[in-house]
Amino acid sequence: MMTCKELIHDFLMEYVQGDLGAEARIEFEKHLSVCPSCVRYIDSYRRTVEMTRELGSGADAASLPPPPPEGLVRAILAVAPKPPHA
Amino acid sequence: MQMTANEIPPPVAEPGDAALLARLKRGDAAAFESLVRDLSPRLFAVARRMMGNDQDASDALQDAFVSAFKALGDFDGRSRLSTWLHRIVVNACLMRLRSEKRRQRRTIEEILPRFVADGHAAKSASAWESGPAAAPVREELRRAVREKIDELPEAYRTVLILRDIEQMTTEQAAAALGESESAVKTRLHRARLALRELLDPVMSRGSL
Repeated sequence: MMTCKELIHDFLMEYVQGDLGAEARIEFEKHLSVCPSCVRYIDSYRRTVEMTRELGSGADAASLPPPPPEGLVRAILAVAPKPPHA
Repeated sequence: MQMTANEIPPPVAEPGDAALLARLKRGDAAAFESLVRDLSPRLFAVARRMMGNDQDASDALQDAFVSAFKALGDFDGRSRLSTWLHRIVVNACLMRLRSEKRRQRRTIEEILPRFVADGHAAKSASAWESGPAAAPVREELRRAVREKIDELPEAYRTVLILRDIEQMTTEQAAAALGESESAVKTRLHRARLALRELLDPVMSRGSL
């Protein structure tokens, strides 16, 4: 039987992505049927990924990052290329 | 509809890219002003997520624009200007992250879940809070996730940001980091496992 360590270290990511092969998937789910701790672990792993993705997905609306400081914008513009004849 | 920093459509729209690019290549000051003012908020947000603070993000953004200005003559316009600049900002951040002596964090092994000799988990996983949380709690959680990501060892933090926050594919992240796709996959999984461990005390039922 697959151990908790094998399930979490070696197969979890592919399982969550739906990429686990049929044979490994059967073993994986057999373990889950007798291990409530791993069921909870997988739920928390999925939540971890979801919460991380939300930081970059626009769901982070309540904490809009501040715009770049005006001094930075000016510093960037100061090094912009000039017309060849300028 | 409310827009956020990540949803703001690049004002340098696709059809206008060619015209703007031509003006940029001529050294048109107004075109540079438009490019920098329109795109820098989104690009600064990317740099802040990668660098973790405003000062380092400012330095990386400046590096990126200097590189972009130098490379402008070779840019063929086949991708959007915003996409091209996004890639340059990511690379500028990676360069700084590689070269800087970042503050020492714990090793990944110190954070990863532990197992006993027969492969069972050393401690039973606790159930996490579920269901919709009130807005202040959601904001609190976002802050916690950002803080915990910052505690990851640099190599793991970088992969997690590129793949899960910047939504790069494994192939793109591998190319940006100069590593194999399998190395990126392994490191991403370990970064997620470690982040899950760091979030566990915050998210375990009864903690919120």
